[in-house]
Amino acid sequence: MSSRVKMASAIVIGGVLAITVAVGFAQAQDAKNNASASRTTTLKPTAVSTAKINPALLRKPEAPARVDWSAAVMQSRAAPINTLNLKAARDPKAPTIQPLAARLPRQELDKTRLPMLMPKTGGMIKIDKAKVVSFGDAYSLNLPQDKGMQLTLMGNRSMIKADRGMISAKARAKVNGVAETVRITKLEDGWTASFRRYGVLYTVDLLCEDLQSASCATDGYLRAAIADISEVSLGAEAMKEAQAAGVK
Amino acid sequence: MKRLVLIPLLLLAACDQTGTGGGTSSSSASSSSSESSAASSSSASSSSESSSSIALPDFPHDPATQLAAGSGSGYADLSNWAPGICFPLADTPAYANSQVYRPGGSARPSEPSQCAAENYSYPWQDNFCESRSWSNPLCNSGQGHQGQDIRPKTCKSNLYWAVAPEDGVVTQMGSMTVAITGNAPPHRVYRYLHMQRSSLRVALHDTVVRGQKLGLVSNNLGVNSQGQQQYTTIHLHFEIRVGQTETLSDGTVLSADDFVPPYTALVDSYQRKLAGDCPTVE
Repeated sequence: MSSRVKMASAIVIGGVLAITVAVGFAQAQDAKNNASASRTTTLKPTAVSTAKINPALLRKPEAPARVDWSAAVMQSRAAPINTLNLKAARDPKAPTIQPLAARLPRQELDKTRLPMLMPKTGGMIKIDKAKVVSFGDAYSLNLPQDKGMQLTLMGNRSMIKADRGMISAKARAKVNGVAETVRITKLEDGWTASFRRYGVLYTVDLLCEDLQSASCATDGYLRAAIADISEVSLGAEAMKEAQAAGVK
Repeated sequence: MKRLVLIPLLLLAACDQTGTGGGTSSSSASSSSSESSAASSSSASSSSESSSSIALPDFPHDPATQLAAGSGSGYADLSNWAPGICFPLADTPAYANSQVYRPGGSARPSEPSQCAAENYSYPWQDNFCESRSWSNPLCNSGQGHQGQDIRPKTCKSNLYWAVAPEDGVVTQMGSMTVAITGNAPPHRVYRYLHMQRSSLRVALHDTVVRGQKLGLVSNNLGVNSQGQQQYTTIHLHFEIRVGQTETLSDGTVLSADDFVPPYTALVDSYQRKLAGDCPTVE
């Protein structure tokens, strides 16, 4: 390469660098100006070391809860029986699907790895518009009711370890027809209740358009609904786990 | 322009996502102390924790658990119950503070304007467990506010977007409520109250991604028995609910689904938001 070419290259590269530095400086100045103009308070960077974080403050989920498959399978085989359950009666490895669940997308049921608690057939809870979504180790069942009310039932195997006394030392209620104690809480827009059954956490939310309506002014309707949520369906994955756990 | 300055921060913050398969750790600064910040993603998606220190922009905020004077007995838990979430509003600044113990609130009747400058300025203030008649086991009194109230950038209704905190599914749509259940364990339930119903961009059981627009923040308080629309102040009421379990000394295991304090997680998410985390998804 001739010295003239080398010099030309050096001039070009130098020029590019100079422009880059100039633009970068201008942009940095712009950024600085914009930052101070757009906020009333100057934001300053603060360095934090992860080493300083108290591990007790990191709330991580525990391994999925161990399910009492034996009790769940027994309940899933209780009446009423539909055609799918007739098959289950002949083949203990077949999923046990109750009437409501039989109307829901099978794919969602089959990938759910826990007992799917659902309203009992012919009970007080309307099931005609039920919709379900599965997360694998959790599911959420939405049940629109009359007068702008809706129930949402969630089952979840994934929980975080609570501090000592956070559950045991707090108020839990007895609900007629329900074996477990239940945490009942009023919401800004309704009521919620949660309880543990088969090793799984179940939550029932009641959302109300009119909080002053008879069904929402007290927890009476929610309590009756909880007592009505008693059927269990087990999809393919759940049944596989139950079988692996030795349940026949 | 600002992006150039923030690139180093973005590269670090980009690692910190809940429920997107990239869950890692991040750190936040908090005026309450370094221990009130949290870092590692509690989502069971991949959780390769970072050990490097990172710089995030600080902003004026009172410590977690420090409520407005006379507004309640508060709570004690400083945990970050939802590390790595997106700040639930698309636009900054936003102002976490009380809707009752501020101008326009029922506890300040002599100052009727909810648009008072005091409401739309820093510092942030925690209002989880603020006095309410509703039960809340995490509150010292056993009763109190179940979430954190956040005012949007300005005192205008139906203008600012609420966005999804993590990848999940819409599991509730009420007259003033949208709930997102996170895909990742422990499947936290995030409840958004007071959004404008007609603006909602999601429907029941839609899947959403972190930062996705849900609806506009408004003053919607639902309807009364006569079908009349009711109003509150312009704000987002943001709740986090998490399933918890406690094993007693005799081996008995109890479980409950409780509201947890969002403030520490919100401070952390806001700092990351200011650093460029959580771009809004249409």
